[in-house]
Amino acid sequence: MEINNAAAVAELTALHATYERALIENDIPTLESMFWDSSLAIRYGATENLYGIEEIKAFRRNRPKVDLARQILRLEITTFGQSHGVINLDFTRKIGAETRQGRQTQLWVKWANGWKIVSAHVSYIFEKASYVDAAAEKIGLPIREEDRHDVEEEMKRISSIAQVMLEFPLEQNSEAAPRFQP
Amino acid sequence: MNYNFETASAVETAKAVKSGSVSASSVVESALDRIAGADSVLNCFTAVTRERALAEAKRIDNAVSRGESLGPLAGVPFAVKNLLDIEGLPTLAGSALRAQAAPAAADATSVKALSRAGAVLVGALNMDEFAYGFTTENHHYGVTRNPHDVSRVAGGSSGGSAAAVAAALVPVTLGSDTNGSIRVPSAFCGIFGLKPTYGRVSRAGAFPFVTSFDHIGPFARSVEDLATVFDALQGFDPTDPVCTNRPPEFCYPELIKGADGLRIAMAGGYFASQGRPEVFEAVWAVAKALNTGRVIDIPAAATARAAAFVITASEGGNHHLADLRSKAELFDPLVRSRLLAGALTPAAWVSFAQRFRSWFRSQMADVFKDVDVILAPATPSGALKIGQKTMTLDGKEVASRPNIGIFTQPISFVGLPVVTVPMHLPGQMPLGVQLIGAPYTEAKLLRTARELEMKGVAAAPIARGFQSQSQG
Repeated sequence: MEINNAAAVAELTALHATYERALIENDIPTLESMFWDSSLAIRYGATENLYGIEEIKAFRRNRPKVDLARQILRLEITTFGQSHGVINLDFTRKIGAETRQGRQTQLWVKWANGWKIVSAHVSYIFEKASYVDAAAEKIGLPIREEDRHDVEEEMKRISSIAQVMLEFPLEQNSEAAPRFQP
Repeated sequence: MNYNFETASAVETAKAVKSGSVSASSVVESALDRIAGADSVLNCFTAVTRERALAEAKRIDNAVSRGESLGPLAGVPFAVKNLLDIEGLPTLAGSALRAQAAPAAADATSVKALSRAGAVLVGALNMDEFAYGFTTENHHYGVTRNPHDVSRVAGGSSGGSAAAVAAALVPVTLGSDTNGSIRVPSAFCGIFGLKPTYGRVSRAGAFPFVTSFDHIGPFARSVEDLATVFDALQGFDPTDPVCTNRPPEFCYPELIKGADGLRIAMAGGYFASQGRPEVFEAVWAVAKALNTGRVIDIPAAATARAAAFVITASEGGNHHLADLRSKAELFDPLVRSRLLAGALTPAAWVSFAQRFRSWFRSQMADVFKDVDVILAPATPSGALKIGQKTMTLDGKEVASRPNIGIFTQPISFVGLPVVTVPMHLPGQMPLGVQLIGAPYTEAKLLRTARELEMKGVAAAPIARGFQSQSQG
């Protein structure tokens, strides 16, 4: 089997560019036409599992049309023979004030009506939650969005003051003041 | 008769009432009139207990006419920070969350103690929400203004308690001090304040902030009044788990001794930097009047302040966790994020802070082997402007509110008693100097304060700055 047949790679490279443009412009007809029109087509999104072209189409039509732009950091296209290929890429995407790192895998098959995506998977790399987020979840304390910034700032203040304290060379065997009297 | 309703001290008032030369009712009515005239400007009071006060005053007048013996505060009007329980009123603790709380079933132990001594409660006083602040800029109940300059804060968290005394609305009040909340407003308002030894005055019936550090104490414009109120507050209370069972040691009879025989020194290092020059001048003036040039070091004071900060954040946040979960939006914006972050403080820091606390206690015990009274500034500057967010210390611009307590926090951290004495330098806002003692040595501190008062170095003249703003 021929790996990376030049013509096949060129075709998928061109299709990738078309797909990317359609994605950012939220050009739904183009995006839909690039998926295999089959109940066996599968797309795993960052937050959704879509089985069959109907579920994929329904998702596209209800998707919020904001912050779709993404910057591709690395693109890998590999073909197997004349009619099978895989496109892998990793990217960053700004969602609100946050920049997230993601990756996408598409499996392509060439049919009589051309190359179609038969399976796709998009995911984000989970960044470590902030201490405030993790601790708040652990003790069941919801932090409202409008308070988050101030709470993070206050935690920084407590943290920097605690560092002053923690530099003190306290004896390992020192005890807290005896307060509890049974 | 030469009795002046406004300027009379608590001790003078009690004498006049007991002698029958002035009625408790007229004293209380006069205080209620002064409150009505000034409080629209100063905003010290969140409740005035007029009917109760007039009824109690009448009972005292009847007792006088029957020739009964009365307490040392007979007929003296007083008011308390609104975190102390007053029978029949919700205990606000400066919070809107508590406005609908069930009315207190009984007075706090400290309120009962002053009533037993004959004092007459006239109301509840404004504070920072849940005592977590040094400025009494309360989002729900408004800012308490400094009676010397109404564009400035009264300090906090017991701001109403200090301003009401400075403006002579009442001669004495009660407040609480966890990290400086008696000493800071005493300094900013130019009056005397006493933070007793931890556990020496019952906190039962006081809404808690940080139970590791919470203290109840008095404010006054004279040392005699301060000592008289403190003496009335002393005594074991089984309903406060940290209240000492040591017998009371009455301070008023000790005042006559002055500072005779006391070993006095200034705190150097940490306590001699990070302040405006005038606060150190105030300490030197006190030292000079007490004939001392001695400087001692308080070891690891910055660590003590940091550890107090960590325990405060953690205990304070934990205390309010249930309300923070369900109704965070009802907290004061100046307090909310600090309580939320405090509730998340890692146990590793809190345990370290508590262990450091016992180390620091033993170090202070060593320091007090050869000194009786340590002098230190109460605050890094005089009263700030209302809304002031930064101040300049040692040439650096720093956030003002978190730095107001740098000189008070290390001391309350280990429960040492402190008397704050007021200093009025010409053309400046008043300042406070802390007289710090070993545990249970309030008498020595009050004697030293009395000496400074007799020498005219420390004084609490009635604030007049606000009067041009008041009606009536």
